[in-house]
Amino acid sequence: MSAATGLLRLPSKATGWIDDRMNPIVVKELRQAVKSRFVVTVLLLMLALLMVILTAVLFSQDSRAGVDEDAGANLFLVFQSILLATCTLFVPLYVGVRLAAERNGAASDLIYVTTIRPSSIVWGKLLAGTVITALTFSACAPFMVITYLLRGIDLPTILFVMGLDALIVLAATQLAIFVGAMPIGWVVKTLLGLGLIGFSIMTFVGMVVFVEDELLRIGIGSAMDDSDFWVAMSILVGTWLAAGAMVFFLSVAMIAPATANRALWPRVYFTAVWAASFAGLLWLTFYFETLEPILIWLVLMSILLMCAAVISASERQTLGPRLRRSIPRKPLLRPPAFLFYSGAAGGLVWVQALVVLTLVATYFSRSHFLSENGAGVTSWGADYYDPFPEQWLGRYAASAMWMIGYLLLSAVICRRLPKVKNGTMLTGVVGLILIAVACVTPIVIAFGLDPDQWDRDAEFWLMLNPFGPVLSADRDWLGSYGETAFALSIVFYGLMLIVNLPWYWCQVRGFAPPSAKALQTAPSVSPSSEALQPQEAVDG
Amino acid sequence: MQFHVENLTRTFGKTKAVDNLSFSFATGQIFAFVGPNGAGKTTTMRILATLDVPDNGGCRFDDLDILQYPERARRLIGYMPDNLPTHRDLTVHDYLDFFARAYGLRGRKRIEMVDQIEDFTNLKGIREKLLRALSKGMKQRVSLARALIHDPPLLIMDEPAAGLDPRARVELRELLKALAGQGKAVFISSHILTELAEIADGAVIIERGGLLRAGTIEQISRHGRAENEYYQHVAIRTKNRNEELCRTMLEMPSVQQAKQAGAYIEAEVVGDEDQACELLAELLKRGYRVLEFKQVQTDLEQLFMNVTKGDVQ
Repeated sequence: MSAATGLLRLPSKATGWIDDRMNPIVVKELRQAVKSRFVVTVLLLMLALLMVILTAVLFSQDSRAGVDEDAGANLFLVFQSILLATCTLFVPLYVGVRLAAERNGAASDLIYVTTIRPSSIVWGKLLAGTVITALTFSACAPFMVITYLLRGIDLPTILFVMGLDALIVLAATQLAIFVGAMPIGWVVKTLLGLGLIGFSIMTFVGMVVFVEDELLRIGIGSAMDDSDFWVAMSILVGTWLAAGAMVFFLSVAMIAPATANRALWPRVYFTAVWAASFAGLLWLTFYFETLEPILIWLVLMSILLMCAAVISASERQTLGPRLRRSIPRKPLLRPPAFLFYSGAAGGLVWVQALVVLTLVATYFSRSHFLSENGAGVTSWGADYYDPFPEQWLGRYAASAMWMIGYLLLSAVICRRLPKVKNGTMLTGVVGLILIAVACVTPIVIAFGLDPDQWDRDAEFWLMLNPFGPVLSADRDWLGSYGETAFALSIVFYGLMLIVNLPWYWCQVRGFAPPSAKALQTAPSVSPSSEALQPQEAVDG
Repeated sequence: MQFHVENLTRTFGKTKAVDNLSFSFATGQIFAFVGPNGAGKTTTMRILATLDVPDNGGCRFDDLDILQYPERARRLIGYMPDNLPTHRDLTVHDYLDFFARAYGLRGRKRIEMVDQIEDFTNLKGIREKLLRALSKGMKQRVSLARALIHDPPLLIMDEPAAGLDPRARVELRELLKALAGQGKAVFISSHILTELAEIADGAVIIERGGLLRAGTIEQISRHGRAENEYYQHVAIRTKNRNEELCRTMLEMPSVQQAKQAGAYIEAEVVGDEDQACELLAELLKRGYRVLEFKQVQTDLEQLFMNVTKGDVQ
């Protein structure tokens, strides 16, 4: 009897166990979603629209005119457009706006005074968005399957397109969470949100065109036998997920307490992605017998590292007691820890190290795949296509040196501004302004000097532009311009390094845990301070 | 456990919302946080609740630095804001259940805690109501329940009595007493000082972000007086002759102040309780027919009026 009772109670125990381990944010968001008039209205409107269109199409079919071979494909395209448009706008908007409202500085939601971890909040929001997306997709699924019965489209294509749609919606949702989590004012947040909507619309249009022009024309069923298809899909999905995870870590860092080591996970993750993507591209280079993957990796990493440099430059310049307490006591562990701790100096060193590693890795992998004479033939005889520009190494190095040089100059300026506390936020912004000035000013001067032929010596006006070395044509770079620009970049970067050296030295020296004596005298988790008694404060 | 605020400063642009604020109090105490509108009370409370970060200064709960370790501090602090940020589509029960989950309560403990808190704050009858359908008073109750859900030793309450009807205020007062009795520290801001005075062990009075007085009511009222000087506040009601009594008392060396307040004469007597007894004996000796003679607690409202100028930022 008792065994039977125990068995009967098992499902409720299991559900209780699952219920306890569910992310609280997911539970709350979904409870709210099912009671939300907005969600219910959007869902019902979409289903009503699908129903009306389906009914209209079915009734408009003329059986005497024979079977329309593309009726299913055309109807699927319409349904998929409605589903994607609804989800890419509605789900990110619903999740992002709610998070933005919760993160509103003046009226922060009380979630942020609970003990829930920032990663749980971001993960919960994303998961809730995923469940709402799944709910919407499953509501649409019967309509999608009906299109299969109308001919012109196969089931794998339907499932594949819906899978891609789901990825797009999730990416847009993750970006919306990122914008919502940003510690910025409403105006900037709204502008970024509008930008995100623009991005979603562009993605939507691109996806619809892709589905219409490519997938429906060739059909996925036939392409599935080709291994190239799966490789391409793996790259697409892998890149998508890797980028999504990066945005996830950045969102978590923005919600984490300012005193915590917020840079740790984004930097660790980025370094891991850097290494994994390099390994992946080597395999792709071998598989496709072209050096294009290496060049794409170089360009992509250069862009990402420049973004990382701007973010790192904006970080704190002094470590709080909490961070100092967590610095490793072993001297050998301190240098690597320096690179992964929140702080402008450590961040900029980390970026510079990765820039150097990227250039070195690209150089050696390219050399490995090409024969010694550069004829494009490997040791095993396969021809490799080499899309690299002439003197790419110098050009990318010069570009990186300009970029980091401007950020170091910005750091110098910000440290001298009297009202800037700890250099936060402003350094990156000032750095970007300096870069913009360096890009625009020479062109404006050139135009002012000679409005008719200002672009005659275009490369000369690109001399201070960090993008100049990469964007200039091969013939320009190979001339004296290239040499001058490279030399100038070295001088500028070197100068900025020298100017910042005392600051770097100070930061490196300061990167040490509190002394054991200080720890003994201080309270366990607080800076030492004598307790104030009420009467002492009376005269305050 | 002691809660310390040390040199707290917070500026918004050119406005110093909180200016070098320092005070402390302990668990088991109810501390009133009073100041005119715009004095910086809400900003201070938001910082203490880890929702905002000061430009300078620190807050500690015994050895725990709240600003450095907000995640740990949040286990110890229950914050009740001046208005409930509404999760409009949630029911009262779901709302409390969510926060219980967010504080890491699991299984039976979570269910029991939510149940207990609903009972304690008298929310059982409306647990299935949506938050958007609640009155201001009910929302305040929900907010209090939410702040108590993880059983924190420190409660920070920003204007909890605002918008409550007289009965609800009395109930809130009793609730606060009960919470202090359970050993919790209650740090409460309110404009209804008469109510606070009845329950507060101490007060922090601020104006324009700066501290004017902090300490127990006794300490604040004794501010500026010598260490060995004791004062008793008494209220006396006699059968007629009140005006004459007032003059008589002012002539007595032990009476510092005397003024008529309605049917009573309120007086400040220099010395300890014996001195107050002697004053009564003297009055009887002089033939006054005393109907009532009672010790009066220092009036927080009067203290507040004496200390502040009514300046806002």
